[in-house]
Amino acid sequence: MLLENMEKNGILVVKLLEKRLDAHLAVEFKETLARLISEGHRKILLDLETVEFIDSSGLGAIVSALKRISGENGDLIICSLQDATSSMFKLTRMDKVFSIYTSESEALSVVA
Amino acid sequence: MRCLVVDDSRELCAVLKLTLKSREHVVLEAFDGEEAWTILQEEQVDIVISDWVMPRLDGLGLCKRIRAEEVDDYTYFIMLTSITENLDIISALEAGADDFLSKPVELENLQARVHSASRILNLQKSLKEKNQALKLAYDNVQSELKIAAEMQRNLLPKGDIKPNSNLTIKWLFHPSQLVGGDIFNYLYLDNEHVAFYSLDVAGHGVAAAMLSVSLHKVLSSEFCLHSDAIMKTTPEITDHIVDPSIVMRRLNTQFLMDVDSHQYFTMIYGVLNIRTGKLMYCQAAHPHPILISSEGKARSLGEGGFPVGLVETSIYDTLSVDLVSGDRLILHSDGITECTNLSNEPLGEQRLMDFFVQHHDVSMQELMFDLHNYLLEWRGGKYEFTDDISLVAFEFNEPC
Repeated sequence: MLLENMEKNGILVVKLLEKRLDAHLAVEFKETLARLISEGHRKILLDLETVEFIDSSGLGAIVSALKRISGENGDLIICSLQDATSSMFKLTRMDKVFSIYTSESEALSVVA
Repeated sequence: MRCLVVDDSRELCAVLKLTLKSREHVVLEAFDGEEAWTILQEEQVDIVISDWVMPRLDGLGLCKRIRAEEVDDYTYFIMLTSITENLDIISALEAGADDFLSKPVELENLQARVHSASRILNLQKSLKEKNQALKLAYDNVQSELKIAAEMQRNLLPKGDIKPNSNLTIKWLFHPSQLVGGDIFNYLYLDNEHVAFYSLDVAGHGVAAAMLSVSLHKVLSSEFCLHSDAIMKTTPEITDHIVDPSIVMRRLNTQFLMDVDSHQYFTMIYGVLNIRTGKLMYCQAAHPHPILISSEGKARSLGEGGFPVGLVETSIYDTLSVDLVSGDRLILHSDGITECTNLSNEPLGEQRLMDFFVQHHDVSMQELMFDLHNYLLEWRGGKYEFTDDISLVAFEFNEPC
């Protein structure tokens, strides 16, 4: 799984460099986020710019990370959704659960 | 080890035999290739130590024949060579010889070569035993899964809900593995209400199947409970029909996932009044139901909704629509719309909808048959899917 982490203005930007976040990647992705949270990160921006498709397992992994970080009084926000993933977030009402920004710079300017 | 020494020199055979016997090997002997071959047909032999140049069948020919006929157990082949004969080592290796020993044979060298052969054969034997154990374990899991798949399939409804009913129901079900996370059902709540659901547990395979089966049980008992309550009162009272959004809310509380798992599901639950055509339904992140009129007009129903078991604070809404005679309602899991063709393009909602529009005037039976063929063609001739697929089609007709 290709992932890029970078600390910007006190926020950990996690960029998933994959086209699909599906059942094949979900477990590894969930565990990676769990590890980052256990290392003490409390503000995570998940950048999904390259992701064209998220299936239900992938969505489960993201929500599981949100629950984990919320339990530590942190927050996980999302940016740069492509059209197909954006409509998936709308269909499942996850656009009501996550703060979603159009770009990384917008997310950082609002949250930082 | 069981060794076979092959040489046209009886003296050499005798010496080799004596040396090997002193190391507690069982030793057989033959004086040419053909004789060796005859022995090999009847006796189990681990190591062949054979001269190259012999009458009738030479060492190279014997080695080739052994390799050609080898089925299960490997025979280790040591070729005796002599520097006075100009022999082609490469052709012997290609024929399948494992080792070479030059003549005149130094007995210590022979013992060392046979020792190394024993080591390799023992390794091979233990590998074979492990493979057999692995295959046995794999076969066991597969046969257990086949039983589980049969059990899951048996949970599916058997066909039309009632003979001569004004509701015709057909479905398609194909798990991506033997068992899967998709399941659906439909049944009468009372004389005029049919409840139905189609659900898809996140992921696929065994874990998803286990949750889908428990959900099937919970939902069936839920249904039965309410039809009991209705039977005790008069059939006209519909207050006892539990609102679909409440069913969804209950399931969300009961099956809320914990932080370590990500098992949740998407679902459509609906109740159709088969006298009036009034449909109440709740969409929990499941793909939009498709409504096709008898004239072939298509509508995508619903506004989305939270999945079940994912978020504690989920809110669910019941929507309603009035079906008219000839309307078809299609419920499906995302395995169908997301299945890709050879260019990796997903089928998508629009194409699926177009299919039902184009086939609005064929019978329900033919519809499922044509859909199967359509998906088969879309997948490039293989009816295999990376996700579970399920689809249920209802056709409502005005009661006579």
